[in-house]
Amino acid sequence: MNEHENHVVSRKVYVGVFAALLVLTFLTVAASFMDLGYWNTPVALLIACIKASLVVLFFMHVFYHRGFSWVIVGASVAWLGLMLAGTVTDNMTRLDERGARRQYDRRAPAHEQVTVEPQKQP
Amino acid sequence: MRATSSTSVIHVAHHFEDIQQQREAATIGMWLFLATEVMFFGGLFLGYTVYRYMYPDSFAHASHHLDIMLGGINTAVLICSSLTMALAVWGAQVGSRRTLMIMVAATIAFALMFMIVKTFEWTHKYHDGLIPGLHWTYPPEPEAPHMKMFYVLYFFMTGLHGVHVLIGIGILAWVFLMAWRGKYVTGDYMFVENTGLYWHFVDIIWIFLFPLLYLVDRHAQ
Repeated sequence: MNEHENHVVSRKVYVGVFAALLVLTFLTVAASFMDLGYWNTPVALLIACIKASLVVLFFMHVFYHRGFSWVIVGASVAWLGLMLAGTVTDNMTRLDERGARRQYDRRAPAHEQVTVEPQKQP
Repeated sequence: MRATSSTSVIHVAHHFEDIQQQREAATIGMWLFLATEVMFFGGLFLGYTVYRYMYPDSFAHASHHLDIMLGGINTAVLICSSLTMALAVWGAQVGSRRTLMIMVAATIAFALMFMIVKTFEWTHKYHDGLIPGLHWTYPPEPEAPHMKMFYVLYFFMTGLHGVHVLIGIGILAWVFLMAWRGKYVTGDYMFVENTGLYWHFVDIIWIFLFPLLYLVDRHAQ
């Protein structure tokens, strides 16, 4: 088995990635308790993406591969992004019957809020 | 059958040029499967995104009913299992049957621990009456009228993830059995490598589920 054929990753790398993942988990919990306004969810997703990248690159060996693994990983992420982006842009730009931008949840008009039916008791 | 070196005897199927090409093909095949898995879970993440945008207050309110400690412990448990899985692949690559078997057993133990914690959480949700369609007795709250939607997504996402963990336990048990019989440590480690890819993928799904389900607007709690 040649060295360049199938790279055997050092155990130090695995332990380093493991430690980084635990630290980032702690960070994401700590960040969720801070009021970052609009940025809470983007920060949580950014930390999750960094963690996922570490797992893909080192635990899943993509960092040491050339070519096709990168293409498949890239295509997966790109199509998922396309699906999310397409739907979200539709969802965020819908207008209500008065032609105003649709507001949901707490600020919703009364007819939209009444969706929770009381439980029917047998 | 061809021997690639004096120490390892590996079967190379007749449609492959050599062992390297066979290994690359196995890796690419596994990655293609994982791409379909991304789409599989992607639908649920898309549903989550749409409904969280529509009902932000209900989602925050519903999220605060999840136990951040249990979710955090399970996150750490899965990260530990990913480390032991990576070390199991390392053991197979360097030909250490002992390392391979210990690390696969440790991965199975962490996976079982994850499922036990998850069972406690799901049981607790049943007692709280927070299971849509099966047992929903939670009184409707005026400021959070759409909590049910959050829990529909919660159970489908953690449920599908849990099914993947259970399948992973089955595959890992098979790897352990075959390793016990002396397989995988003479150069034919691709099955262990691909099991590892699957297992790390399951970990990645949880890496996203944890903040999206447990940590919504915790500061406003």
